[in-house]
Amino acid sequence: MKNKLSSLINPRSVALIGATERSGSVGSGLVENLWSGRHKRKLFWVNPNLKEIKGERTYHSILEITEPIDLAVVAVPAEVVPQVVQEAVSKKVGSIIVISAGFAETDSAGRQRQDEIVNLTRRSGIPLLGPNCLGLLRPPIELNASFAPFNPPSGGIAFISQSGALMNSVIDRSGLENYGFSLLISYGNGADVSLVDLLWLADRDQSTKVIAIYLEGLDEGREFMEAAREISSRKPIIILKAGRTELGQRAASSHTASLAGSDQVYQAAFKQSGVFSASSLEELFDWAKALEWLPRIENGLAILTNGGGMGVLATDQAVDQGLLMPELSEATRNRLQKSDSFAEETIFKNPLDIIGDADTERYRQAIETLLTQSDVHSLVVIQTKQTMTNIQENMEVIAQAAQRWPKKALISVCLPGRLSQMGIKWLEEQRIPNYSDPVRALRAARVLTN
Amino acid sequence: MKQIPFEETIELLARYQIPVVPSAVFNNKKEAQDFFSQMKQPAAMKIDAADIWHRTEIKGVFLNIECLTDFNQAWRQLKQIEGIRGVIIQEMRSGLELVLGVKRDVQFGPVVMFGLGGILVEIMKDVSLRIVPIDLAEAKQMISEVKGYRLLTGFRGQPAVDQKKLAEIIVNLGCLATENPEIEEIDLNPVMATSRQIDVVDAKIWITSDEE
Repeated sequence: MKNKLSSLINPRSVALIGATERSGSVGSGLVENLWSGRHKRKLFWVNPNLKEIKGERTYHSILEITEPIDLAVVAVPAEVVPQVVQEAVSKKVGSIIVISAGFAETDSAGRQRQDEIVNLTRRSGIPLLGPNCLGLLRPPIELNASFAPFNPPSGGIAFISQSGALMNSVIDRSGLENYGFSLLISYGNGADVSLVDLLWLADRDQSTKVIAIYLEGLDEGREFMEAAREISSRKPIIILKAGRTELGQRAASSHTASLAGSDQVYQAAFKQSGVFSASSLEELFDWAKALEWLPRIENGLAILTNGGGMGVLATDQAVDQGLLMPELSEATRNRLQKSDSFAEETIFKNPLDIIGDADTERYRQAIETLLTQSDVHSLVVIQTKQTMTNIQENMEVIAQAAQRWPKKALISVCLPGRLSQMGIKWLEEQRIPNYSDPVRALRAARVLTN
Repeated sequence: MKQIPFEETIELLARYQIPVVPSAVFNNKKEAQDFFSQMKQPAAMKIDAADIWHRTEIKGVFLNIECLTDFNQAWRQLKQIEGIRGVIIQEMRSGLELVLGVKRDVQFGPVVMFGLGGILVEIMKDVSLRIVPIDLAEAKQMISEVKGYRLLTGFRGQPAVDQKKLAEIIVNLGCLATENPEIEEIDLNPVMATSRQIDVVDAKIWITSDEE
């Protein structure tokens, strides 16, 4: 499977079976997305009922195409899929994605249909992704073989999702976020290409730095653990596992036809194979960007704030997360006390509250002094917007410190508002994560120390 | 799934160095009486029957038997229970109640479970799990994960449990499950722990039955 998947993620030619320009259809979404990468590879439209799409001729059948096809994308009604897959197999394509739904996730006829197409492709050794999936995107090479709403930004996160619709929302959301993707793969029913195959694929992919997964259930628990254990030692793996409750599990089984085991057992499996278990979609990407942008660090955290309340919230969460907050050393306290930037009433301890009237110079002195202390490995910098708070300048100070201490992790907490959102965007463009809430920031800080 | 007889259960556990409180199963009253009069009293007398989850629920447990009168009365009542396979006679143990178990998961295979016993395990579901095989370090980690962990460390006059020994038992239980694929489920409940010893007091093992 390993080498065969290269035609799936690096195709020189793609045939779309079920291509159409009828607006609002899956086929037209695929046409638009594939078209956006037309300079990178050859495209062929297959639809017996149309003459041309995007000014290019269509083919009656994939067999009519004379050139070799690396990837066949199938988006036709379920009943027609077996025939189309048979043709793609005869054409000796490199790999196949079946987008169409109406297989094992529906009824026994659907399951039979799924077995039928898998038998066809397996006999010929052609990998099949899907059915019942959104498709595959690889932004760094402008490959978008999906009906996603637009092309998400390129970056270091590989997102593998059992659910296609959820992947669509993640892509939509990514337009407002500052992280990007190396790969996005929705594998739907996982009839042939499995999560384990995709894990190995993401492991080998040079642009992938972090692997984020939405999972409902597995069919190959032991193999998964073996793969995850090995891969997580090189690239962090984060999983959002759905179906925690019995009712949730029943919903999952009718969704992607997966046989979900007990959630507690899954959690044990994740723990034993070095996988981070996120509890929400938000957390999945909170952690993914932290793990992509920041170094892995030892346990030892300092908190810097200009507002007492936020400092207390952050400290509570640090304790809950098992993060150690070292006392300020005498040298650190002396340095802070000698500086004339701090207000008289400042108490020099960790968390360090530099009070609401803190200007950028005070932030700079505090950040640099705290990072100089050797047992401070990560620093959470909290800003509440006060009259004297210059968010943009403070962000620049944070970015400078991150450059000076590349082995330490700097995390920003600032609620995005009218006055702060520009500064936050700028900071994240420097690959320093910002979180709107100290709880989110501290939970992200914890995964860096594991 | 069917439950194997108690004698086979404790033999299997012994083969994997999982300590069980001294026990014997009898159908002959005279032999049972002889055993009782020579053992370290008080004794516990329990029913061995196929397919029971809780012996107490069918009134199949008599504790603190110290004289022949009590013995005879317990014997008579146990023998009246439908489906009886034999009468288990055991030494009594006290200490901190723990539970250990194994369940075969559809995706991951055998999973070992450790938890604090009695009400805590049933109400609080205070257990930790690992997919086997596991090593000693993983077993120790697993023990420390339960919320009531401090109870094992000698909290307010409770006995401090020998955690190394407990971890060894968990590792062995994992081996037992891996090497005997016909086992579907193991329930060691309670396991009594003091600072000096850890003993399985009640044990049930279910195997795949032929009809399935």
